[in-house]
Amino acid sequence: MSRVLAVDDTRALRMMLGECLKKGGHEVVLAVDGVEALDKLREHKPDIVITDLNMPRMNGLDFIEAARKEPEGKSLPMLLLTTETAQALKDRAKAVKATGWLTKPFDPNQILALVEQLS
Amino acid sequence: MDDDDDFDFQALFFEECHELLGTLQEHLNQLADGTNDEETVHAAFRAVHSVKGGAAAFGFDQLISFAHIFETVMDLIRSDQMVPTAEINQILLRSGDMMEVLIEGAENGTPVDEEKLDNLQAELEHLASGEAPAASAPAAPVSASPSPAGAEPAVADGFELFGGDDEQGDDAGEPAAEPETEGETTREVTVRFTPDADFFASGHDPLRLLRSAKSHDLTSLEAIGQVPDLEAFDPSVCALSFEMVFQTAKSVSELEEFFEIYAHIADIEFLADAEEEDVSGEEEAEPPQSASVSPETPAETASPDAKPAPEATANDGQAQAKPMEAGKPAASGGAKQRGGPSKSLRVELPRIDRLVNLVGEMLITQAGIAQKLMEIQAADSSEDGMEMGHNVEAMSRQLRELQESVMAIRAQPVKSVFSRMPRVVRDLADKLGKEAKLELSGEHTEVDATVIEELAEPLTHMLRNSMDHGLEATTEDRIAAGKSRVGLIKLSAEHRGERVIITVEDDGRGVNRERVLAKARENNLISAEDNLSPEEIDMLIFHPGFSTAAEVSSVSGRGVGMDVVKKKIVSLGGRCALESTPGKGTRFEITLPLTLAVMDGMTIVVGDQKFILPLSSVVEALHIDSDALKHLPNGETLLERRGEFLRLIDLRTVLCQPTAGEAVDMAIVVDTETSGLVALVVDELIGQRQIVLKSLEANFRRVEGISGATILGDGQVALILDVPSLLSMNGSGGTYSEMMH
Repeated sequence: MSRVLAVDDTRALRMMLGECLKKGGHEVVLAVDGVEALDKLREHKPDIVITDLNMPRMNGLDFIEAARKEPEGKSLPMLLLTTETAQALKDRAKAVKATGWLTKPFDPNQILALVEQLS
Repeated sequence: MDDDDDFDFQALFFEECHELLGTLQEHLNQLADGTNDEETVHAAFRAVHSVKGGAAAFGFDQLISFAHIFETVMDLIRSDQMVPTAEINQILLRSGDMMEVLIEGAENGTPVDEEKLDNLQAELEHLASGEAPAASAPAAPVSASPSPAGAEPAVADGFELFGGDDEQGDDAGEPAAEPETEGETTREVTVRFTPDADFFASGHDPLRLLRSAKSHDLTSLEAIGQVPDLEAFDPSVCALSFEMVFQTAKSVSELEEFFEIYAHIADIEFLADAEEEDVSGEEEAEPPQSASVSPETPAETASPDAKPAPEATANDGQAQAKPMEAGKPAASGGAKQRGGPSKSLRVELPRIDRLVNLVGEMLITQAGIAQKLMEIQAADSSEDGMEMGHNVEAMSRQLRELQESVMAIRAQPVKSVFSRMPRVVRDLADKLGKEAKLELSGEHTEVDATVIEELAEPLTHMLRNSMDHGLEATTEDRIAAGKSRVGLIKLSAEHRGERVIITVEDDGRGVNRERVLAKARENNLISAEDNLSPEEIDMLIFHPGFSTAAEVSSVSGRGVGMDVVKKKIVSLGGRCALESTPGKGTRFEITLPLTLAVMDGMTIVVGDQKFILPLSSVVEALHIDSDALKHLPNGETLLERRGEFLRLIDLRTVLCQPTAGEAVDMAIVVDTETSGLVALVVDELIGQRQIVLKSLEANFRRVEGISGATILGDGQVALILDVPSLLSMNGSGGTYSEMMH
């Protein structure tokens, strides 16, 4: 069981992701955007992060970039979960050292499998 | 997840969609209004994007592909690759409306006009292709349905991981679909795994990889690769590679899926037996199937020689009303509202209602204790009694705070309703061929959630009425009347004491009193001899079944009109008023209580019963000096109060209570909002208290002149008087006895 920080500005998706993770036996911390996620990262020291890309205030890419500079985020698995498909964004994700790129809609089982696998 | 949960999430998603739609409409309107700043564009973009994300999670395909192309266009504007012209804004506004239709379709299964959808989608694709719309420009083909491939990549099923670099493309998740399992036989698959230098830095850990690989039947492992010299050793770089052997019944694609997450950060070689290797090699080589069209160029699919779409967009701006103007909000006041989400918790309304009720009950109990204590103190003025009095006082203060806090939870800005109205006006402008713009003000006025929910319907009716009957029939009529082409409708909200006032004001032709009179006579609402004042004539339009439209129009005809508004407002404990100046315009005003649950009241005695007057309407209580009374020939009495004359109403008569002689001793001056100050004769004034409104309708029926009941501290029930409606009853000659019997 891992502590998962799930970040999404869309409430329904955030909660759905949270529920899915809880059912997988994980402890879940939710955040609505990158700014809140950074706070939660420092506070809760999660084992893995799953974040949306497009969010207000601080998007998922900027969040990962910032989180990598934090002691808690240095070697933390951080997955992007997004509807975006543009290669430029994926390149950027790689550049900011995102751990992986998942495309919505997500399959709960695969999310759980990945959390198992990566954290 | 089981289905129940899915259902809940969907409901949540739709709830959020409606909020997002409000945001979207608001910002699109601002955009149309010329506010072209980054924040506005971005907010609209994000609203569309969020809807798309949610729709993707639930698989609402129509919504996804429309949101996708819509988002693409918004993104072009956001990145300054497209300047939103009036025509583009118009398409965006219609797209916002279409989003609403699609969301409703997804939510309730209401039918979606496919042709309209396809046309609009084609227009958006046309925009996305980089061509500005022009009257002569060919729009994308209508036959482009089902949605062109350009909209698909984002919605490709399933699960997608970093597609390595290029050759794996975007569809890396695809192999999962291939049935490769050959019975239950196991096969041996060898995978050579060479992490990139960034492997650790990207949050990966080879140990975790190997641990998980065990569940995929990893049977043996060999570390390969060169560990560098100690001086050159960089612990942040993964120096080792692995050759992993799997003995598995799983398909190669399952294994590939397992490794997919590492594709961008490691070199992964499948060294299976020759046959298998070929298969996987082919997969790798195959060009991605649906991902070739990037979101930036989705309109490639629209053939250049396409015939123009039936509704060319650009001529709307000329011949017809300009809908983008119609939707223009007065001020961009609310732009910052949704900038950053505040920390919040969502609670279902019924839970808060329960809390409100409980607090209400506590207030009643507290009042009971206070009253009893007063009786005890009156009999025995001991120290203990004093102390207890202080405690009870403190408790009452705390209870009041508690109650205010609870009520504050339910308070919401009327904006959630107001923001839907520009669209209503825009639609009507289209339908009626009128030019109109809506100005909003006071959107941030907060009202109890129970009231907000009920507002949308009457507001829509009022706007319809203003658009249909208020504004001049044609632009020519307006110009002839010396007015600007575009009709102006103002919608505003403000607090006034314990009530909220919502007004809808138009600058149209005013109520056509002759026609109203004629119609009322025709319908036998009034008799020919009735001599009505202009105001009374105006009020006739609230009469049930009254509709002045000469022909039943598709917009506000069929007699479903202002009477519905009035009924609704009255049922909420509110009132409607109307002011009309011929040739200048009409102003509707509805007054509503801020909450439907608690109020401050003044307890009075009339005859042998206690009644409650809403404290918000009480101006003062005074003893009546018989010199101050002036009797008019028509039987009415006036009370002189500091030089002005007030109508004096004897509540004992109105409420049919036994009068203890004709002595008129005490009066309470109340402000009725509609008929100004009025003095009410009462027998006794007990004091003010907080009361919990209990609906009479729920248990009995609605009674004119009574807005509800409450339970007093001693357990007695007291009726709450609705003074304005009492007065109108009195004025129309009715008495309370008629209502009671």
